Amino acid sequence: MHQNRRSPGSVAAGLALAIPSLTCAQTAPPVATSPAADAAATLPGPALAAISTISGADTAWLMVSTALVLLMTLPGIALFYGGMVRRLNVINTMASVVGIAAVVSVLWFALAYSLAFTPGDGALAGWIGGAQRMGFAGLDYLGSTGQVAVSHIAPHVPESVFAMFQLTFAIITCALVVGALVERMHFGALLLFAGLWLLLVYAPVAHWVWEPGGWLARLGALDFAGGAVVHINAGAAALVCAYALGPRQGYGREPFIPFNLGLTMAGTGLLWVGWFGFNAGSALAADGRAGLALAVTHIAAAAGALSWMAAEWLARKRASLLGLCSGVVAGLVAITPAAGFVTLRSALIIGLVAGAVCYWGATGLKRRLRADDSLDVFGVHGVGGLVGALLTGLLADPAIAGVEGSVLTQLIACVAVLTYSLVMTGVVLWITSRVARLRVHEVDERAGLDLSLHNEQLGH
Amino acid sequence: MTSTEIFATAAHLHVLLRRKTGRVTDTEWMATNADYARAIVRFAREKAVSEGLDELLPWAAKLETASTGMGAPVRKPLLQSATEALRAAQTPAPLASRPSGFADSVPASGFRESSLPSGFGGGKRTDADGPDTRYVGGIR
Repeated sequence: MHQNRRSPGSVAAGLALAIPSLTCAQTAPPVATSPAADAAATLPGPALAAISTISGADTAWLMVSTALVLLMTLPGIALFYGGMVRRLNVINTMASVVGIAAVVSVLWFALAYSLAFTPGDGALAGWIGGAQRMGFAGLDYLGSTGQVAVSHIAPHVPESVFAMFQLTFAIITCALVVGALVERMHFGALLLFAGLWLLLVYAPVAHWVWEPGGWLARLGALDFAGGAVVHINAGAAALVCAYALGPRQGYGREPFIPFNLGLTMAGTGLLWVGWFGFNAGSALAADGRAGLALAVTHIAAAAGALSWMAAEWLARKRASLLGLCSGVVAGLVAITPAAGFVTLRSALIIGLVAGAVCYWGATGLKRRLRADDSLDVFGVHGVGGLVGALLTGLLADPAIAGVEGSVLTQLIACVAVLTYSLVMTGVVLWITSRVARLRVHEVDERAGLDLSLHNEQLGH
Repeated sequence: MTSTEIFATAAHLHVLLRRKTGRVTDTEWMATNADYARAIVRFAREKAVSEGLDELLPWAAKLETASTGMGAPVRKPLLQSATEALRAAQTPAPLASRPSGFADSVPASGFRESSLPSGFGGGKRTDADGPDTRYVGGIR
């Protein structure tokens, strides 16, 4: 995300100077810059800057985007997933999303933000960030001296806003994984897993791709808003969780009737609207690129819905509400890495391809994988993220992105993130299993996790 | 045996089997499908012997007799078949049923509806459509 935008076009110029090897959007031809932005653009890392260097418009848009992206999780993902699970597990599913949001938020400012978005030290600089923002440090606002902390990645907005915006991405990425393990995982183990996964998987991958010194950023991988960092990453983790936990009792033999697809539709609506903050906010500025990202996001979502619907009709002679909702999400996922780099026509293509391919991912591929990825996180987010990342390499418009896309580079990034997430998620699950029991007892699973874990029930 | 008599026989046997053996059968299917009817006849006779349920035997015999005519094609002269097909094609389709009996309950569309199969809810059912199988092994 985030390395391509820049308000007054400044950071692109500054980073291009600092990191000559960058081939992604940071090397876009610099546009008109302001002196204040130029000064900030040369920052090697987070630092204090004069309040006068802050862009009010960009800051306001980023604050709105932060709220929009948080809305995608709370209540977007909670409703989206809560509607798809069986009646006796709705509360547990929603509680999992809320619990993860809380755990990730605290760990973000304690450790993860620094690991992801500050420059690393020495040989590890390309792999993991430093410690200068750990322990809730930084993000200062000194009204008395007229200074505010800024990130070197977005020096025209306060670092507090930038860090909060990035936090909402971390929250939703961890929350997405819940879809693969619903109805059978211990709540405490899930929270522990989410915290460890944030630190050992999400933060490093975000550093690789979005911190200018990250090795994939230096390689020139294009990921405007998180196709690899969020969706491939979460999809791979979901697949590992599904294999590790095993299928739910009765899976493949009994019908698992969704509680209320109306909730799922409401969640989809929140995701669709929130995705405007996700993608257009990733421009990190209220500018033309953000406007384009907004438009392509919408077109891809619509195209994804139509494409999934067509695929479903061809296969089953039905157009289901869940299919429409899934198609919307597939289109949104696939446009995520491309949002700031492609034209409207390309967005249409990306959405159409993603809808059909993700339909296969959630049906045909799912059967081949033989994993109880309960709500098809890998089929929609993993596959959609891969489709989007590769098509970004193919369809990125140099006139928009300021750089030529490369399918090979995108493929390298996809394979790297996928492999790392697959392996490290397994490691994190193993560590978690040493401390807490991963799976609930069969009798608790049969009774439903709402009652057995939370002592709560839905009304009649 | 008329279709009404066949249905009455099937319904009677359905009730007897339900009460005496606990077996639930499909009355309509029993009255129209010869294979199913013969299977039920076989089952009824087995139960009659094994559990002493003699009252099943006359109804099983009746159904067996009826099953011989089920599904048999009715042979008609070619000219008669062609005439009937032509008449059927010219006869307008009856209006949809009017639940309330009022004029406002006629179908809303004033257009002549397409005879092409609709892709939106009107397509062929598939094996995965039933309520018992729809959500087995996945929700999508």
